[in-house]
Parts: sequence; C-alpha cells; structure tokens
Amino acid sequence: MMPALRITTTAPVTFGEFDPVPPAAEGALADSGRGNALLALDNAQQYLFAADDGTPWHRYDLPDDSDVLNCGGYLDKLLKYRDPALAEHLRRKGVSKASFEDGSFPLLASRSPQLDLLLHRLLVALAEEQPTRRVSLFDLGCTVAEHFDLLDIMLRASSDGRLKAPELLDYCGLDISALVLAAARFLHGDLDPRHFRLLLGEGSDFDAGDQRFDLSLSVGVIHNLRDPVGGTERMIRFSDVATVLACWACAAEQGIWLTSHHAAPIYVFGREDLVRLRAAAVGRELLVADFIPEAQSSQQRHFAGLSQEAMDSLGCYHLVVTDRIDLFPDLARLSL
Amino acid sequence: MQSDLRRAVGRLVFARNSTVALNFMPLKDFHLDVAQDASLIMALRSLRETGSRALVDRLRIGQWMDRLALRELTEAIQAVNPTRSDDPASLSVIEVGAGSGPLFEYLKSAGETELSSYTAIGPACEDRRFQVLHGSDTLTFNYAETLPAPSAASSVLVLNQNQAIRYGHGCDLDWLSAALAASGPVVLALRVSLGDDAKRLTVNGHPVPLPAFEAVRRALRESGRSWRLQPIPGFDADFFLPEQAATPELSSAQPETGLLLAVAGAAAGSLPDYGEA
Repeated sequence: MMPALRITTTAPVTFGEFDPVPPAAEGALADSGRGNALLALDNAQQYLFAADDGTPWHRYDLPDDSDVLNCGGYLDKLLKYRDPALAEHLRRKGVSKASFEDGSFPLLASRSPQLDLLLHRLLVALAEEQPTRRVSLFDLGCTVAEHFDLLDIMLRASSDGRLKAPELLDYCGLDISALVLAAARFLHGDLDPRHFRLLLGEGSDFDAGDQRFDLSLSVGVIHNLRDPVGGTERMIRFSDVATVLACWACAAEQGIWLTSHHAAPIYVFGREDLVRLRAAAVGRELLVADFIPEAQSSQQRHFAGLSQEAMDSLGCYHLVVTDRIDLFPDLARLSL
Repeated sequence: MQSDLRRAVGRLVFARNSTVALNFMPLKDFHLDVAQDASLIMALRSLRETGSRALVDRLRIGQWMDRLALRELTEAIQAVNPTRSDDPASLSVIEVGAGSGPLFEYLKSAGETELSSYTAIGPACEDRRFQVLHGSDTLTFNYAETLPAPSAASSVLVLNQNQAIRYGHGCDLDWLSAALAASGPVVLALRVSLGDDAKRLTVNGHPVPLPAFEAVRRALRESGRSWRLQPIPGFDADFFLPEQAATPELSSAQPETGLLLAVAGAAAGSLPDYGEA
C-alpha cells in the first residue's frame, strides 16, 4: 500500500556572503567622463563559494543567457502582481504612494511600480474625460507585459472594478527578445489580440507610422537602444498625452556609453541629451517624480566596471513628459 | 556539510579571453533555477504552438534540459506507460516533485503519446507559479500537495527527486521507499552517492541525503518487482558542494555522485541503456 506522500519545503542553510569583484574606489574602467563600451566582453552566471579566509572552494555554472534572466525576473514580478493579497491591499488602502510604500508589498516601492503609479494617474483621468474611448499605451521593452497586469490591478482597485485594463487599454508592447514576447503572449492568452499587441523589434527602428499613442512608457530600456536619444525623441513625438520614463543620467554635459551587466553597450544620458528630449517635447514639460542616485539603487552593479566615484555621479530620473501638468501638481519641472 | 562557507551568486563580466572579472552583479533566487525552468517552459510551448525551434535552439535551453534529464525521463515514461485498449496513445502521469513543471511541458509535445491527464504533486507554495505558467494552456492539470490514492495503475508515477531538490522540495522525503511502495508503473529519478551513503548541501543550501547506489540497487532487486536501472555517474555533480576545496589535486578525492533512473512497469525492458537491478 502506497503511503500518503507529501512534499514539503526545507529551509536552506544561510551562507555568509562575499563580493568577488568589489568596485574600485576610483580609477576603474570608467569614470563619468569616458566610457568603456568598446571592450569585447563575456558573461558567466555562477555560484561561487569561498572559505572564511577567502580561499576559493567551489564554483557552479548556470547556463548564461540574458533572455533567461529577464524572463525569470519579470515573470516573478508578474507572479507577485497577480497575488490576490496585493489586489486586496490596494482595494483596502487605495492606490497611492502611501499604499505602495507602507512596506506591505516591498515590490511596490521599487522603480517599475512607481512609474506605473504615474501612468495610473493619467489613465484614470483619460478614462473619465473620454469614457467611451480606449487609451492607447506603447510599452518600450515590455518583456512579459507585467505592466499591463499591475495597471489592471490598480485600475480595478481604484474604481471598484469599473475600470479594467482589458477594456480600457489599447496596449502595444515592443521587445527585442522573442523569448519574453512568447512568455507575454502565453501569459495573456485570454486577451483580445486587437487590443493587446506584441511586437518584436529594436526600439530605435520602431516605426509607429501614422499611428499615435496617448501614452508611452519605458523603464530604462531607452538606454539599450542603438540610438538612445533619437529613439526616445521619437517615442515622445508619437505620444500625444504623456511619456513616462526611467532615465539614467550622469553629471556631465555629454552622455557616455558604458557596459551593462549583460556585457552590452548602455548609454547614460548627459545634460545635452535631456535638453534634446525637452526640445522634442514641444509644448510639454519634463516633470521629475523622483531621482535615485545609483549608489542607492536596489540593483547596483548594473553597469560593469564602474568605480565607486563614477557610480556616485550617476542616477535615475523618474520623468513624466506631458502637458497635463494639472494631473501632477506635486511634481517639479526638470531644471536644465 | 559546508554551511560555514561564504557564497556569491551572480553574473560576472569578463574581458574576452581573460579570467579576471570586471563586474559582479548579484542575482536573486528568481533569476536562478526558476528562471531557467520558466524560460524552458516558454521555449517548449513556443515550439509546440508555432513549430519553430528558434527559441529552443538559440537559447542555452538544451543545457538546462540535460540537467533536468527531460529526454531520459520522457523516454522512460513512455516505455512504462501501460497501453489502454480504448486509447492506446494516451498517457496519464502523476509527477511527485514537479517544481514549476518543465517535465509537464516537455511531455505535452513529446510526440508518440498524447498526454491525457497530468497531476503535479508539490508544496502549496509552488501552486500559484504552476497555475500562472500552465493555467492559460489548453491542457488541464491538477496540482496537489499529497499523492492521491492509487486510483489506477494506468497512471505513470514519476518520482522526480532530481527536479524537486533544485527548489528545496522533498529533501527529507524517502524517495526510495515511495518507489518501492508503488504498485503501478513508476519512474524514479534519484541523486545517489557512488560510494557510501552521504549527505550533501546543494549550491542552494539544501541538505540532501544521497543514498549509496549499491544499496538502492539491492533494495530494488530484493523488492520482488522487476526494476531496470540506468545510473549516470557524475551527472551535474557540481550541484552539490564538495567536502573539500575544489582544487585540481583534490578533485579525485571528492565523493562521487550521480543520477539513478529506475523504472518498473510495462515495457521497461525495451529501454536500451537500462540494465537489471
């Protein structure tokens, strides 16, 4: 007779941590004045173990692939967004900066949900002003379309279920990874494909044609484009109401090409680039919702080979490019 | 046990042809095994739905399939699957230790047989991930915390310890006893020690008993059933922490581990690389 089998989870041993590549205090590969993106680089994803005295003990390699990392990371986010307890929290506490930052769901205090909070403000306003019309949203670097999920939860929670992303949005996500787009499609298989479109491509090449969007969003992906400033300018131009951006900038006139942890070039905007974005935003303002110095980022080491000194000169703006200043009385204009 | 070791898990950047790392970005748990599993599931589904091998071939998915022994397990499951007179091509599987379901996804498109019923047995904490990853697919499934009563010998019971321990699931379960207690067709994927009984920490920090291969073989042989075995020495051995620092001169002194695939049921004898217990 087969006994009842139950699978339980074992708490893992907690290892001490170590840093195999601590950043140099200064004089590492790049400083804020020159880039390091011309190096030929390789990646590896590893578990490294060392004895207390630093002696290497063991190494275990996982197959290294940027798409796998992104797919895993964003799927995890989507999974957390779909937690019924999170929806209940927002229903009870409301959709606000306070409910996002009260510690109940630490993920909500991170960059991406904070930008969704800005989008939510715009969506609610547009839905009220034009109740019979869908709001079009372009998501540059959409990965598994997890923004759609959080926006849906926020809309439902803030409207007693009256507003729902599948009924309100005309969503168009663009990503360069076929894997994450496949995941986005499979995880949203119940949505009407006329109002939930996924496109494979590089953001610099994206041709909106005659199509215009009410809103656009990019959480850092503008920096991975072949033409970061040009691509962002175009996105701002084809967005009628607002563009919401996470935008890394350095304390210099000109931007710099660095290397990301994916061993790929990544561009950090300089003041001149932000001036160009403002010029592209004719009649609109660049509003600052937040600025996170890189040294306080939750995902440090995003840039390869940066000295501590160089890291201290970088940071990430949370920007809203819009003429709907009435919706953001709490935000200041970016001073350039 | 090496619980006093220090650990760094992350992504390193090297200048090409250099061993000197330029950057280390720590990774979270969700970037590791679960990311590999989820990406594999999506790539396999894309293959099934579009017929395109682009994702499966381009990504380093093949390496991950090897570490989960998906091909070997599928071959074994199909061999022990009892043929139903009303539907000879149907396949019913109960998988204990399914993780987030990469074997389930692989079986959906395995070809020769059509998966007609699938039940995953795992801890409650994994249920929601399983539902999100597989819920929108056309093939329905059950997820349960305990193995249902042996309703029929028509289901193949898969005891997938190799998958389960990657998530820290079922590390203290007696997988061998479960296999011995099964009366229907069964496939066991069990990490074993090639020397004496051992207990080792995985790189994820979970202590796992590794029964001695010879003791497992003896128990299966003496069970009264006809078991067939395929030991794979050295299988993903680095998943376990060594007792001593891994230096070239010490590597031969490490206790060896391997994966044991054991099957009992219908046409188990037809499996080419398997021998009697």
